[in-house]
Amino acid sequence: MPPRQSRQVSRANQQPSCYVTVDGLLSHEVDSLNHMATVPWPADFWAWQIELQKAARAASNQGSLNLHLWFEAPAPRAARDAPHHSIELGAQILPGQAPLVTYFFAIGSLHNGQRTGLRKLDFDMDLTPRTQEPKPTMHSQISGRMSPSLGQRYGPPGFDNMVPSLDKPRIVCLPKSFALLAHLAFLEYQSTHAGISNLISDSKWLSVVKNAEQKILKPHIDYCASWMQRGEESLLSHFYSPPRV
Amino acid sequence: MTKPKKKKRLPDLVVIDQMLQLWGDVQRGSSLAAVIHDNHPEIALVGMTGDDAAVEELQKSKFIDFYQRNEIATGDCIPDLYAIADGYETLTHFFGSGKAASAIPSGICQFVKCPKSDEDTFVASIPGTFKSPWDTGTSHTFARWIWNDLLHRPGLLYDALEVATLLGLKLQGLPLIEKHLEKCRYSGIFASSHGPRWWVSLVRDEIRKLTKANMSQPLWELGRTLAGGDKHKALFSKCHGRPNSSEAPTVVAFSDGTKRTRVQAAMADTIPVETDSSSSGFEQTRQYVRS
Repeated sequence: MPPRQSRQVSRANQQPSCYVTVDGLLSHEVDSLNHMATVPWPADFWAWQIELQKAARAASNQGSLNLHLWFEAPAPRAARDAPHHSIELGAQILPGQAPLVTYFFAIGSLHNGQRTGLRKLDFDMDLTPRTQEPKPTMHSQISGRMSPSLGQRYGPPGFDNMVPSLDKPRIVCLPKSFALLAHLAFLEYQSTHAGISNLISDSKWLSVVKNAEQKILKPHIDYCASWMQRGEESLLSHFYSPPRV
Repeated sequence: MTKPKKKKRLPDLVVIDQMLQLWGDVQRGSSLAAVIHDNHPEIALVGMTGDDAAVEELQKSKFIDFYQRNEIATGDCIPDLYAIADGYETLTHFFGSGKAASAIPSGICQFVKCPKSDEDTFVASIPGTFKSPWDTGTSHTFARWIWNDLLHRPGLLYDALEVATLLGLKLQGLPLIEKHLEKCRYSGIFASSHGPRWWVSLVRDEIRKLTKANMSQPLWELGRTLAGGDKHKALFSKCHGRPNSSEAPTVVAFSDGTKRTRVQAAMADTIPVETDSSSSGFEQTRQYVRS
C-alpha cells in the first residue's frame, strides 16, 4: 500500500471527475434546447424558438453543436437615451480527439445600427490531453476571439479591446450549458426588459433551468462539497491539475 | 300512414375536378366545394386538376389536398384518399362532441400517436386556433394542417427520402435498414401506405440504440454502418452537384425554382425557399443553388 502522502498526491493529480462528458453534455444540450424551444418566449425573442430547434436537430443528427443567439435590452443604470446592449450567447461543442467545448457571453453596444464590442467572456471546458501549462478544466476568461457567427455581426475592431491574444487569467468556474448561460444573461437584464422579467419566473422556463442545474451543476457541486469535507488538498489546486505531459 | 323516408348515406369523401362543366357553363370545383362544405362539413373534399400551376392557393384551400388528374387516374394516390376519408371522419366525430379547450392538445396528441418525447414540441407547433373550442369549419382547416404541414413538411416527421438522407443513404438504400425502423413509422390519423412517414426522434434513438453509438457520432455514419458498410457503398448518399465529394448530404432540397424534384444536398449548397416561412416544429424548405 503506498504511503498516505503519496496517496494524497496521486488523488490531487487526478483529473477532476465532476464534469459531464462531452457526449453527455451534447446529449443534455439536445434535450435542453428542444425543451427551451417550447417555453413562452417574449415577442422579441421570436427567432429563438426556431433557432433552438434547428440547433438541437443539427446536434442530434451531426453530433456537434454550434449555436449563437442574441437579444437586445437597455443597459441597466444607463441614461434613458443610451445605446441598447446587444447580448450575444453562444455554444460550440465539437467532439473528437481534442474536443472543443466553449460557451460565450458577449455584450455589444448598439448605436445607429452599428454594433461595438464591449465585453466578452468565454466559458471553456478544456479537455486537451497534453499541455505544458496548468489550467483548470472548466474556466472562464475574458476573450476577444470571435466565432465566425459573431464576426458576421461585429465588424473590425470587433472585441479587440479585450486583447484576443491574452488567455490569462483563466478563472475556475461552474460548468455551463446553454440554458444556464441564457438564464445568467436573463438574470442580468431582468430589470430593463419586461419580457425577460416575466420569463424568468415562468414555470416552464424554470423547469428547463432546474433540469440543467441537476444535470450539469449538481454533480460538480456534490464533488466539491465532498472534496472540501475531506479537507485534504486544496480544491483550487486540484482544479489546476499539474501539467499533463 | 306515410312510408318512412330512407336515410340517405352521405359519402365520406368527394373528389372534385377544378374545371367543371355544369349547366352548360364552366364552373370552378372550389366553388362547388365551398357549397358542399357549408351544407355538409362532415364530408372530406379533395380536388384535382390537369394544370396545378393554374389553381390559386385560395381555391386549393377549399380542399384537404389537391392532386394532378393523372395521379388519380393511375391509382397511385388511392391509399391517400382512403387515409383522408378515414382520418377526416375520426376528426369530425371527436371534435363534434364539443371538447373543452384544455382537452384538445392531448386529444390531438392521441390522434397522431405522438411519441411522449415529442409531445411538448408537437403541442407547441399546433397553431393556436386549433387549441380553442372548434366550430364547424375547424375540422377542414385542421385536416389541411395535419395533411399538408405535419405529414408533408419535414419537422417531427420525415418521408423516405429525408430518412435516407439522415442516415447517409440514397433513397434506394433505405430498404436495407427499413425493417429496423418499423416502430418509428407514423401510424396516426391520416397515415397512408402511399407515402410512409417516420418520427425522426424515434429514428435517431433507434439507430443509436442498434449501433450502440454515442451522441457525437453523426447519424449518416451510423446509418451506413447499419446498412452493411462499404459492401453497399453504391447506395451511400452523394451531395447533388458534387459527384466527387465524399461529404455526406445533410439536407433534402428542391433541385431548382420549379420545386418539382428533390435532391440530397450539402446544406452549404442550399438556401431557404423565400416563400416558405419558418414555423415552430418544422424545417424550412430549401432549394439547391450551387452552380
